[in-house]
Amino acid sequence: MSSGTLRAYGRSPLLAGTSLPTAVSIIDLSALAWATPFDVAALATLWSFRQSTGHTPDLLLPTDPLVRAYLVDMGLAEFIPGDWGAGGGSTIEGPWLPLTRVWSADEWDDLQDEIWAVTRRSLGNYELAQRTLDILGELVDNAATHGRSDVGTFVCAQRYGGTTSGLPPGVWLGITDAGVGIPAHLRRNPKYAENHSDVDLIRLARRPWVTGTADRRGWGLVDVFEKAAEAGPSQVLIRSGGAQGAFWLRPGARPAARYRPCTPPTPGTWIHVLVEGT
Amino acid sequence: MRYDVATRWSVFLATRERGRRVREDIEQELRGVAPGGNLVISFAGVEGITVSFGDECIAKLIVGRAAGDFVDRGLLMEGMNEDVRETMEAVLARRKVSAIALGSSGAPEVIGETGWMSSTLAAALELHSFGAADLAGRLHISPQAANNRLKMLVASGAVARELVVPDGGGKEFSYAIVIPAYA
Repeated sequence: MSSGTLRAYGRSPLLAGTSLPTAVSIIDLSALAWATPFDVAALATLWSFRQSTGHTPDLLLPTDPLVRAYLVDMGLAEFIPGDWGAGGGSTIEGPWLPLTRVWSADEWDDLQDEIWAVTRRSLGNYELAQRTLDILGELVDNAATHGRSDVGTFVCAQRYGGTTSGLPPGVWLGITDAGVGIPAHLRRNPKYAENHSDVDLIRLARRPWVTGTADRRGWGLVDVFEKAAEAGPSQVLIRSGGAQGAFWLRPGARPAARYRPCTPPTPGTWIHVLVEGT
Repeated sequence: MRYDVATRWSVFLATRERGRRVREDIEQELRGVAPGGNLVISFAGVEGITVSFGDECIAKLIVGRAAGDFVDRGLLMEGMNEDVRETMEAVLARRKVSAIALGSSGAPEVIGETGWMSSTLAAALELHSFGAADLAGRLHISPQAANNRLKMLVASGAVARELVVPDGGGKEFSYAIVIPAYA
């Protein structure tokens, strides 16, 4: 089991599943070629989590000035201090929602008027903007409520046209927290307390009425999946605790899913959503 | 009385926590409504709500009414755009409850769990002020069935319920439509 250095190299390394060291002491972005909103949010969460435990990681900045400038525009420099240089002014279009941290669900709601206006403008399509905010709202609500920690919830969103980034065009969302994680949260419900499989609990989390609370609720993820599928072919990745679920969604079709264990476990819950072709 | 969600809060309502706060604020307003009166929750200008918000705010208000909260006054909704209405329908149907949405003309429509609600509401609108036996007679159903339907009708916010002492003594409930254009 590796320890110490997170080598976030190449394109979208965290989204692609780069192994996390057991205890990150260095975040090495020197060979980073591209970061999606998920990568940006996850990096901020990971760094903040380690800092909150008294072990602030060292940061090796991207050697590519374009990548460095893009990360500044994405908002990462605000949360991970470093010699980012002049930064900014990336030639790539900036995110409509730069990396944002919220400490509570209420705080996310307070931002809605501003975020709605910006989302509407950036996405153009009214229905797509609504669906996107629905998805973000449910995921941030879950994270800020069930994934509370000393680190907060990070949110980042971008729309890629596909030409500059080389990524599939669409709406890309990253929502990350360093809370207890979905499996541990669900185990608070006596119904799931004896379920020791994180993979199984990630699978269950998608179903209606599955909750770690005593309330009669648990439709948040169901609605995220429905809204994402309605918006078009979509992908959802949920990495939490000791497991990951990857889902491919099509309108009117059952999701295709693949699950795997994650070792070492992810601190909290990290979620990626891509609504393709939009 | 009218409660304007967009003005008091925001045009996009996202979280369960916000839903709880809005619900508590609505309940505070309801305390100021006289028995027999009504509160209309206006969603005019609200662009969207999430399922979590809708469930925590409106669905729980309706569930509270089913348990006896504020049943002597009405609670209605208006001004929902297509997206808000769709979300509201989903959260109410999941909890198997109904609410009343007012159209632009003030005409009421049942949303959420419908079933026999529309026909029951229509009968209640014709009767205006009635007892369970009146509704049972109008719908040709048993008094028991009428009572069950009335419980849901009261919870929906369309009808207010008042405890009365009839001439012969004892206690019974009296019901009245509290929809503004029909009250």
